[in-house]
Amino acid sequence: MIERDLYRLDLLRKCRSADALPLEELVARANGAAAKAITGYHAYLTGRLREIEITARRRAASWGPESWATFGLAIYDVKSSAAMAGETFVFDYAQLLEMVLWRGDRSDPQLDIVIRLFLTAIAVAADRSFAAAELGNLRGALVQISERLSGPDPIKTGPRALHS
Amino acid sequence: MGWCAAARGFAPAWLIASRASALTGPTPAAMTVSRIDFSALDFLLIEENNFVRELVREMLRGFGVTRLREARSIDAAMTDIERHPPDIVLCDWMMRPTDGLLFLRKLRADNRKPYAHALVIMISEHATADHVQAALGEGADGYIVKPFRAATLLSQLVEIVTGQKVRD
Repeated sequence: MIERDLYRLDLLRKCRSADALPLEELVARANGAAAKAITGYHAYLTGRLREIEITARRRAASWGPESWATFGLAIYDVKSSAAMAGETFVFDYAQLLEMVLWRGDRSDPQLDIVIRLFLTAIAVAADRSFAAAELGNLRGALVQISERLSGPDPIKTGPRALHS
Repeated sequence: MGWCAAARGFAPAWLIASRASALTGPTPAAMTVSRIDFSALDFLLIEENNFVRELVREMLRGFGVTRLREARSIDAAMTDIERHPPDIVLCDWMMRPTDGLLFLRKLRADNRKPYAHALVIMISEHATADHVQAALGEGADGYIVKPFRAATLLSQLVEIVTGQKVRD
């Protein structure tokens, strides 16, 4: 423990300088920088959409556990990005699709519908032209599907845990 | 309230846990810090999601961090750490094929290694007390739940270095 305390003291010493800025100013600077980074979110989303679409099409062919893992991780990445960007809309769909994926029968034809809904949601968000009413209806269908399924809570277990 | 908003609401102050205060008590260095300069510290950011990595990178730069290295996997991070031990590591829990918890075990495995004492903030979307305890138990110094604001990240950094609680 003494070693760790000494380590921290050394770090603290390094953090003291005449150039040290008030914490409030650091936060203001970081908020400005983060706001700029968030402008790249939609470009990221568009790239991810193409990738997920290609992967989803491959479902028609034979899929193994690795394919599902790839698909699941892509959805997780989109969800994670949407959360950090404050994009509630896409986050909701990603979360619900995860629930369907991890709780449901992956050969269930309803899964195709859910995937289409998710892809539509990303496409709309990526274009930044929200058709909220239409997608709200679609979301209702998605919730109904997910509620019919049962299984472990994907939020608690995590998609990667279930795919490992 | 959407899921995202709910997730945001899931990151209250109690979850912004810190090993410094939760497990070991304040460091001897604990004191009131109103100004800080991170430019002399070596940071390592381990995150495989390009967008999230960019966002955190920009936050850190806003905090005045100039010595920042990045890794997209735990394996790449360990190789980097062996060569240049960082002072502070920010690591996403949900990494593949090796996750953040295993990373912590590797980092803390040998107390004689120069990197064994590096301060680690675990980044996760898991907002349960069990997850926080698991991370702190493996040697994380701080824990932060996605999505988080710049102020939250700064308060974690200040807390793990100084032992000082900062309102975000």
